[in-house]
Amino acid sequence: MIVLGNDLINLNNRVNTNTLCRAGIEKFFTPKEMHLLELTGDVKTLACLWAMKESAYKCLVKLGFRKAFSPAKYHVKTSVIEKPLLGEVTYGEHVFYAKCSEDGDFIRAVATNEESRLSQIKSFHICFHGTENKNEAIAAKIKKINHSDPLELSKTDQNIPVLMNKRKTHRLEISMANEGKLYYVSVLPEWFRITNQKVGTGKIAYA
Amino acid sequence: MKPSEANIIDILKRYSFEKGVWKQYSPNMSIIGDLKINSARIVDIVLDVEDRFDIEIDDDSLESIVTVQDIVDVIEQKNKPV
Repeated sequence: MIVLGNDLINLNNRVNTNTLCRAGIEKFFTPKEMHLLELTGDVKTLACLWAMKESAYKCLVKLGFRKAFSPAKYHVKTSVIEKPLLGEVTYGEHVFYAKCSEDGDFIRAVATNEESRLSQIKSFHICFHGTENKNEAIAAKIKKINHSDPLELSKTDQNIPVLMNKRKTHRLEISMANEGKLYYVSVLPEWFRITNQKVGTGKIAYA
Repeated sequence: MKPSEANIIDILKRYSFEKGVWKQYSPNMSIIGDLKINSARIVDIVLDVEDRFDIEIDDDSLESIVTVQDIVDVIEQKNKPV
């Protein structure tokens, strides 16, 4: 099964920069990752590494993993020279391929378990100010980008977003992250047949 | 409520920006899913709990923390006499 995960960090939010600058932050990164921070001297490096780890964690949850996120167990192998930052995130025997980009104060990462799919992922931001239906608005935007039939966005019991066609026969692989009202949505524009739908719930069951 | 749970709630509330979720509070609520705490706050919560209870939360223990009760359990486990 092809899965994707994403993450968004707003470094303009002082809470985030304070967190990444806290004494003890090294506990959540490997020594090699902390060495990358020494090379760049930039808190954005840590934010990128964190976002890549969390994106990989979201992939792992879709594959059936039910434990909580323990960042130091996710090892990022990357170079700090390339931009966007490309790298592999490993958790035990699992390998995920991740990309992290900076846009001003925003750090955005995506990860997938199939390297060839990484460049195919389409991502966008969407901001919600009121009581609009977020799922409907996101589904409508993806429909427009993907030139597809109407889509329906829901969530599984594990809070995993699921984007299906109206007939619920096929789905697009999607991941969402948010910083307050700002949502970061990533989609793999490839239809997957739904084979493991929970009868009567209208929801698909990830592994 | 155990004293440790009250202390944990005190720590979690520092990083919880949707105050309404606490009206329904139960120790089995998940920290990220139910209490709507941003996952990046894991760093702050772990470091604050370690400071408050003078313990170290290792990587395996961190993986077991989904709910408020899980934090209580980890603290009790760490404080057990060997």
